[in-house]
Amino acid sequence: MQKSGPLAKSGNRDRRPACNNADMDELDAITLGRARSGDAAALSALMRTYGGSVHALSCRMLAGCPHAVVEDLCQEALVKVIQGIHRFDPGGPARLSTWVLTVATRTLIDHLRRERRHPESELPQEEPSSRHASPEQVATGRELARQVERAMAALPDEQRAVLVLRAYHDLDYEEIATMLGLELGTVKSRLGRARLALRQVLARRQGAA
Amino acid sequence: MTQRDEFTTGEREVLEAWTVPPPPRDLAARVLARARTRPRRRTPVWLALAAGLLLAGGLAWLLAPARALQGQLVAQGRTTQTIGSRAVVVAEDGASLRWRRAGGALGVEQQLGNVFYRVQPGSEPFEVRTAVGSVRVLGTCFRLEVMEMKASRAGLTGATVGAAAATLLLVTVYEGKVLTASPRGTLEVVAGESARLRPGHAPEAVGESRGSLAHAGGASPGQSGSGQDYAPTTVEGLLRQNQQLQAQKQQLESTLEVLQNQLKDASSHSSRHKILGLDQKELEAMARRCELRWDLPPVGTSPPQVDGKTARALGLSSAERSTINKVFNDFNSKLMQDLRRLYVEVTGDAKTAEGLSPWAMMSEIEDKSPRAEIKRVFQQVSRERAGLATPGDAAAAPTVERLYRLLTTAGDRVEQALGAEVGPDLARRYREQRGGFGQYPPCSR
Repeated sequence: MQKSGPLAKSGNRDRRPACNNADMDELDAITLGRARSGDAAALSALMRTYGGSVHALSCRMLAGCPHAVVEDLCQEALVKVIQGIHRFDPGGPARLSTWVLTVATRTLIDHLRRERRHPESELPQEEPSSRHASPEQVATGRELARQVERAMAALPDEQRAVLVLRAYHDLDYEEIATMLGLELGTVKSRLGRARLALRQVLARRQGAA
Repeated sequence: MTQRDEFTTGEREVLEAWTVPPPPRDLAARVLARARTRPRRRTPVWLALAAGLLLAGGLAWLLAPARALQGQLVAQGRTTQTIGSRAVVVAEDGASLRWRRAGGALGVEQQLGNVFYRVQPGSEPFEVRTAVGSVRVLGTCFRLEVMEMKASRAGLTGATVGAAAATLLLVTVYEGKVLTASPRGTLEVVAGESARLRPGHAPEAVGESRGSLAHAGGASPGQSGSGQDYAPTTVEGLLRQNQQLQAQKQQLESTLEVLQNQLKDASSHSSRHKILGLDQKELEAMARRCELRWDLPPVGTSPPQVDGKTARALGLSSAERSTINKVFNDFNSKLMQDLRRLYVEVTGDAKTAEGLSPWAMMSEIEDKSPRAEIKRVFQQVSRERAGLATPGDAAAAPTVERLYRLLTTAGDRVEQALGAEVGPDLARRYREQRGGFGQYPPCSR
């Protein structure tokens, strides 16, 4: 399983780009220039550099959605990156990685707004951990992962977006605010509410222990 | 607390637990292929033509700016002329017009002949005046024909309207709308309609936008109510009519091409996620793209059941719902077993397989398979589906091929199992309800 963002352990997956936005190697200027002019090899390099990050973002933003939907929208977001790369200004204030995540986040949020998930989504229902998780699984954190995913999936989309961008992609508040078109205070308050949900998971876990 | 260390240790621990599956190994290739095959928003032919004409007009403007403010044209053969920044006209042989910008408005005076206008939307008024009336537009595509008439056929007394006595204006609108006006009244003419302006009359609708055609066909008086007034009686007039008809034919052909392209695009877009009922042509097209699509009933470590919404939509009884749940559960168990077997083949890690979700196992199998092999599988299976290749020995196939064969046949197998329990009709309706079992958009690579 892939970890990404500030929480990722470096080198845990070979061939995969790091997803930490701050530490990510940006595409070099020459390749970027070629990508902007539509060069296929350069676009492929663009995808290899940022595809993993967008994939991780998609998985978390679309928590609870079927795998096929996640894969489809991840690809859709990356197609938009390709189609819009000529509009990216290398001399502008945004890093390419931030711009890519902006395009992807907006694509995913647009989808979520259009397709408000039905309450009876395909996310597994909450069940006592003893029924489906062995002590070993609990020990390895798999059950915890499910709990976190459930808790995150239950968050409003915008709150989840803020948390994911901050926690896993290491974007600054200002970058998130710009990306989502929010006030700085709104970003902070949404992050605060998302952290509250996290703490509830933590409390349940400690209670169970 | 800085932004970077805002999460407590406990929160970090929780966040770290939320891992995600790795991206498919060939994600870049898939995205690039999708970007290439995506139906593009085609630029309509008329827009391209207009853009070309405008570009040409723009160049003309740069080269001869004075002509844009004021000018005149007597067409010797078909002539294209840019007028101001918004309009391009195509004047047929013999057409005569002049134009002038005054007070922020561009005024055109068309004295005679057949002129096609394309006027881009804009804030400033654009008006064409003729001897019998005017046409005001805000952005449209239309044709004006100012014709000389024999006074006797027009039924006018020459003394009444002077210069207007010998003219008739036919307006044909192709896009947008115009407001026609004469001293006797106004008439709005929209795309597909025509109007006639005669001296001493308010503008009149000509009916089924066949003004020009009626005109052309009007060589035999009485065939058209309007045609008899201005039917050409000379070889020159007939030749001019022929030119008009040719121009109209080209216009209609362009419109047809645009509509056909739009239809093709729309149909291509709507069928992008189609899974069920693919016809031979679609299967062959998919084989050319090495494309596979499949649907998959709900699967997971704790598989979802038939949800209330689906049950209500299909009018399922509780017994049917239980039966379907059982079929799904059996399918899920079998699929998980098969996936674990394949996973162990690839990784040799039976212990981990027990705790992984089906999606994680699928991704891992894909990830550990050579990219070329995956491409070959897609090519082979898509060709088999289109009847272009014969299936090989599936049992001896590489793991990733067996994975895809397992997934791509899952929908049919479940439908069959459901059909045996609740009847084939209900099984098919269940599957069709969302364009495929449980997964939307359906899986496609």
